[in-house]
This record gives sequence, C-alpha cells and structure tokens, in this order.
Amino acid sequence: MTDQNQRECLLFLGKLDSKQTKRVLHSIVDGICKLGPPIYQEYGEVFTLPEWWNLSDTYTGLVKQVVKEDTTKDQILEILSDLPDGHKQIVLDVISVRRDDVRQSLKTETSSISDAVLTDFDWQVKLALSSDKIASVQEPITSLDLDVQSQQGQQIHSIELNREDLKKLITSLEGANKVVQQLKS
Amino acid sequence: MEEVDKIVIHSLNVIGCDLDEDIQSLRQFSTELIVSSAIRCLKVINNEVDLPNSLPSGMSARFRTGTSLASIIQELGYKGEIGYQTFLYSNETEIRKVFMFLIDKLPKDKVETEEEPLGASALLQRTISASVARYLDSPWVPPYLKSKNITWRGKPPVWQKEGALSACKYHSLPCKFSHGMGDLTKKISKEVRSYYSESLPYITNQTIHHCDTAPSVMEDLASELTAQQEWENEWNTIGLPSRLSEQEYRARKRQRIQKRLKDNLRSDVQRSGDLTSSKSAMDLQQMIDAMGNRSSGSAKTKGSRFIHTEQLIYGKDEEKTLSQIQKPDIDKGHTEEELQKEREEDIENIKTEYNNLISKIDNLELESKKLTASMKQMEDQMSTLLQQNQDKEESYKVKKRTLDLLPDAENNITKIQSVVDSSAQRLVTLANQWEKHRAPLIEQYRELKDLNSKKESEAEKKLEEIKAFRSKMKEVADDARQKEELQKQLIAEYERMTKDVNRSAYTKRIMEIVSNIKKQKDGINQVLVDTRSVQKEINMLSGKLDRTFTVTDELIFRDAKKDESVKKAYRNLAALHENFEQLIQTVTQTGTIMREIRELEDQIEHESKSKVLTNLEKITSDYQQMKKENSTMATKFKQQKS
Repeated sequence: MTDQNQRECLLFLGKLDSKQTKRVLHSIVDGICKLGPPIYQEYGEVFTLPEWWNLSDTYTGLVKQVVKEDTTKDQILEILSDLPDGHKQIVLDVISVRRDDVRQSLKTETSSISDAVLTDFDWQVKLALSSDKIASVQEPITSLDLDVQSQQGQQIHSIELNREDLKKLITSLEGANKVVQQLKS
Repeated sequence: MEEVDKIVIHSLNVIGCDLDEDIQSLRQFSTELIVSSAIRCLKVINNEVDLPNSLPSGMSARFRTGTSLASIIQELGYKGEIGYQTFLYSNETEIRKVFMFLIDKLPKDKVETEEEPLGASALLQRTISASVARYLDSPWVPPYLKSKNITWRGKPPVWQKEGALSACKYHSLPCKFSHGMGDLTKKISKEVRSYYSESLPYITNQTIHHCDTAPSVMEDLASELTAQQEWENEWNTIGLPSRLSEQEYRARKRQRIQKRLKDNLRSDVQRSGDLTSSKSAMDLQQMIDAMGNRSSGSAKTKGSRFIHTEQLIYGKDEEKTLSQIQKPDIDKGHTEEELQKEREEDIENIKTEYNNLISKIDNLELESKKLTASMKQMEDQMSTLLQQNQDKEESYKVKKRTLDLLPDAENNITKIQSVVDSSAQRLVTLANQWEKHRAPLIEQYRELKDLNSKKESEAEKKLEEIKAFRSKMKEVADDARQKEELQKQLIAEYERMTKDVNRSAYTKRIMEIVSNIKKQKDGINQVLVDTRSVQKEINMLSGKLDRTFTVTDELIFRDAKKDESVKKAYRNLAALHENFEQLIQTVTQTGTIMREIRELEDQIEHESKSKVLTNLEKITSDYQQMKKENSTMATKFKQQKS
C-alpha cells in the first residue's frame, strides 16, 4: 500500500460520527486482541465493502505499528494529520487505553513461533467403577484434551492418563514452570 | 410417656422390626407384636438366642416362649418382676419398662462408628452410588422430551442432568474485564472510564458461544491466581532475603533476564557461524575424497573465506588433472589395457602429487606458525626496548638538570636545602593537621560502623520475623481452609443425619423435663415447708389450749369451792373440753380415712389400667384352649396306650 493510499484509507474514518468512530476503533483493537473481529454489517450503510476492508486493514496496521514502536502522541497526530480534530482525539484515546492489551496480544503472537502451539486444554476425571471382567475397579482416569494450534488449523489431541502418568506429566510441567518462573519478571 | 414411646418405636424400627407407621405408642402394641419385637431385640443383643421370630399358635408353645423370653431377659440383668404373663397378658407400664431395658442393652458401637466423620472418598462413593441408584430407578425418557438433558425427578425430585448430549467442551477464550474498579479512592482516567462504560462489551457478549463464557472467566481468574501465587512463592523464597523492594527486585530480575537473553543470542550467532564453517569443512573433505576417486569432481560449496582460498589452491590442480586425463582421450588408437595402465599411472601420479602438496601445505603451515611466534617475540622485545628507552630518557633528564645546577653549586645546595626543609616542615604540619582531623573521623567511622552492624543485625532479625510471620500466615490459612472443608463435610453429614434422628429435639425435650422436675421439686419443698409450719401452728395452738384450759380449770375450781353456780360452770367446762377433744379426734380420723380413700382410688386406677377384665377373659379362653389341648392329648395318649 502506498503512502498516498494509506492516507486516503485513514480518511475513511471521517465518514463516521464520533460515537461510531469510537466503536469501530475499539472493535478493530478487539480484533487484534482476538476478542472477535469487527463486523461489517454494522457499518454497511456508510462504507462499501472494499472501503471497509481498507479501513480495517489500515487501522489494524496503524495500531500495531504504533504500539510496536512506542510512537509518541505527536507522531501519531502527524500520521493522522488529515483527519478532523475530534476523530484524532478519539484515535489517540483508544490507543492510549488499549495499548497494554495490544502489546500483550502482540507478545503472545511473537512467543508462539513454533509450528504447533498449545492454546487451551480441558480435563475430566472419570472414575471407572467396574469393567466387564472385574467387578470393582475403582480407578480414577484423567482424560486430557489439548487444543493445539498448528498450520493445519486447530486440532484436539486427547490423552488418557492413569494416576502415575498424570503424576509424571505434572512433575514435568512443574519443572517447565520453574524455568518459566526464572524468566518472568 | 409419649416421648419414651417414640424413642422406643424408633429404636425398634432401626434394628429391623416392621412396625406400621400409625403405631404411635406402646398401648397400640398387640401381643404378637410385643413378643416378636422383644425377640428381635434379644437377637440383636445376643446372636445365639434360639427363639422363633413370631408367636406360635399353640397355647402351650406360647406359654413356653413367654417363659423362656422372661428368663433370658432376667439373665440379662432385668431387675423388675417378669414372667410369661408380662408378654402374653400385657400391661402397658411393664412392657414399657421391659422395652426400655432392652433398648438400653442394645449394642452401641455400631452407632458410634456411624457418627465418625467419613472421608471425602467415602462421601464421593456414596454420592456416586446414590445417583447411580437414582438413574436405575428412573425410567428412560427420550432425549427430545428433555430440554438440554435436564430433568426434574427422583424422590424427592431434584434437578439433574441425564446423559451427555448437551455437554459442551470446556473451551476458554481471552476475555477482558475492567480493572482497578475495586479501589474507589484511586482515580481512573477519563478515557479509561469512558471505555469501560461505553465500549467494553459485557462479559457475556465477549464470547461467540454462550457456553464459553464461564470457562473463559474461570480460566482468566485461575491464571491470575496462579501467577499471584507463583510470585508470592518466589518473593518468599528469593525476593525477601535479597532485601530489595518489590519494584527493585523486579527491575533487577528483568535486567538479568535481558542480559542473559543477549548473551544467549550472541553465543548462538557465534555457534551458528562455527557450524556453517564446520559444515563447509565437511564439504571440503567430501570434495577432496571425490577428487581422489572420480576423474571429474566439482562440488559446489557454500562459501566462507576459508573455502575460497582452499578452492583457489586446489582449483589449479583440478585443471591440471583434467588436462592430464583429457590428453589420452584425444588419441584413441590405444587399446583398453593401455588405457587402463595409463589411467592407473595417472592416478598414481596424481596421488603422489596430492601427497606432496599436502606435506607442502603442512610445512607451510608450520612455517607460518613459527613466523607468527617469532613476530610475537619480536614485538615483546620491541616493547621492552621502548620501555628501557623511556626510562633512560627520564634518567637523562634528571641528570641534565643536576648538571645544570652544578656551576653555582653552593648556592643551589643551600636553596635546595631550604626548599627541602620547608617542605619537610610543611609535611610535618600537614601530618599534624591530618592527625587532628583523622582522630574524630576515625571515631565517627567506628561509630557509624557499629551503628551499621547493629542495623544490619536488626534487619536480619526483622527479616527472620517476617519470614516466620509469612509461614505462620500460610499455615493459618491452610488450617482455616482445612477446617472449612471439615465443617462442610460435617454439615453435609449432619444434614443427612437429622433426617432420621432428631437428636436436638430429644435433648431439648430432656432439658425441658429436667427443668420441669426441678420446678416440681421446688413445689414439693414448698408444700413440705407449709405442712411443717401448719404442724407447728397446730402444736402451738394445742399447747395454748392446754394452758388456757388448766388456768381456767384452776380458777373455776377455786371459785367452785365458794359458789355453787360456778361448780356447774366447772362441770360444763369439763364437758366442753371433752367434747372438743372428741371433735378433734374425729377430724384427724376423717383425714386418715380420706387419705386411705385416695390411696385406694389410686390402686383402683392402677388395676383398671392393667386390663384385668380383658386379660381375665383372655386367660379363661386360653385356659379353655389349654384344657381342650390337654383332653385331646389325653385321648391320643389313651389311644396309643390301647
């Protein structure tokens, strides 16, 4: 995208009133923070679809860049120089409020550089009361679901663990946690 | 008496007697029921009791059962009167006494074990078995009749989930809360406030699927909590002893981590450099091998400088060998054998040449090493020489100066002497001054040092204290948590227990009865005091009466000697006295009779309670039956005899 193009895209924001501006900017930031992307239908009357794409892309890029490079207020104002003053202030406000969130999400993105990344996990404990051969088993079983995000998309890996396996897993995780703690400030 | 009956009936139910629910008191017990429950009690107390569970129909058998029952109960230590009639021709009060005795004798240890708090696992097992039993009891319902698998049934009905149809995954998404709202004193900026109030969506709207909301919130809170705990742990073990404030500690740690990262990255970069060079070295080796074996080998290698130089050296040889190989190819008249021979020769040649070159390179390397070593030596030598040169120049300068001073030697000597003297003087004064300054400074230094060490030790102590407090705090918190858990468990247990035994009601009742008894005792004491005072009054009055009578008697008697009419009065008095005495006697007699009447009435009531008439009828009928049985037996006996 050329500079000229970017300037034009930034100006699309001027079509909205201040309330809508605030909302759209927050929803763009939400999109960066993985809280759900902005929805076109809400602004369908104001923008055409390409305009909307340009707008959201431009502002996503802007916010990311501003947070990444710790841009000062004046520099941001310079980038936004063609916007009306009220809108400038709104953009500044949104960025200052959400700076930490965006930074956090960018950090998370950066730290998950490996091919497959654990995003979530779920566990259940089941108590096997008996089996077809044994009347009373009474053995607790953990079934662990690991949500792994890889290039193929989200995958769920399920593991069934008995007591010893679980203990082993937990000790190894504790070891990992110790290392993480040392690198945490 | 109703309370006692209730307890008795409850206990009988507990040990397994089948009592109807509408039986509320012992009066409603039939003979069969009395006998069967007494036998049941005995069996619980002593397992070896050999009695039929219910009353037999034959009269004589009944009689035998009754007597053996009575004898067993007496063996157990029953003090009251007991016999077959106690059971067969029952009397409510006697039966009550017997049952109270029996229930008192019931084994208690079973009850005690139940009262102990059960472990969590036992509770879990119990709940599992309860819910499984509930599922087994309830009929199957097709899924479309339940909304989200939730049903309302059971006994008593409860909301419950059946099946796993609507179970959803525990899947968490990042979510955003407002922070810092708890502390009202801290001001939050206007922008943040407007963001929170206007733009931040509700937590229920932040997830796409509603069922993800709870997991997301829980996940968020849990991660915050664990982070806090970890930090606490670290702060306790490492942070506190380092004696830094929290921010300082964090900043220092951050610095350390950054440094470590930098070092790591740098070493990694270096190592990767090494790796590529070693890789290329391997490539080189391969290339050399290839050259030895194949006629044409031009391996492509990624270039470091080292490789390029190597290639430069070897490249020429390669060309040479190529030309050597190509030469024989040009004249094609030779036979295969010759070609073979030539090739072998060539290979030999190349090998020797290669070896030569290798040795040459080795030599050159050695030489270069030597040269670098000698260069270093030279450099060292040069630096030492330069040093010497400088020293010499210095000494030369001093000497030159002294030589300059030589011509006017004496003057200069005196001058120098004076200068030396003055400087010595100055030195001495300075030393004195220094001493003067030094003493207080040293004093101060010592004081400060002492103070510092004191502070240090104090700080150490405080640190220890803080540590102790922290560990104590943790302990107390753990303790509290444990206690809470125990309390929960006990409450659950208690709730389960109250369903069958309303212990508290009993204790309350007992307390009431005790207080009632106390009140009654007080009343009795009052009455006793009253009677005693009345008796005293009676005694006093009778004494007074006696005395007045004797006095009047004497007076009238004295007068009677003089006067005839007074004699008459005296006689009247005597009659009066006698009559009144009789009257008093009758009053006391009526009193005793009344008392007797009351006693008799009580007795009558008591007798009427024991169902004499019905019992009598029963006894006569039983007697008739017995007679009949006897007669049949006799006829049988006779038949057998004849």
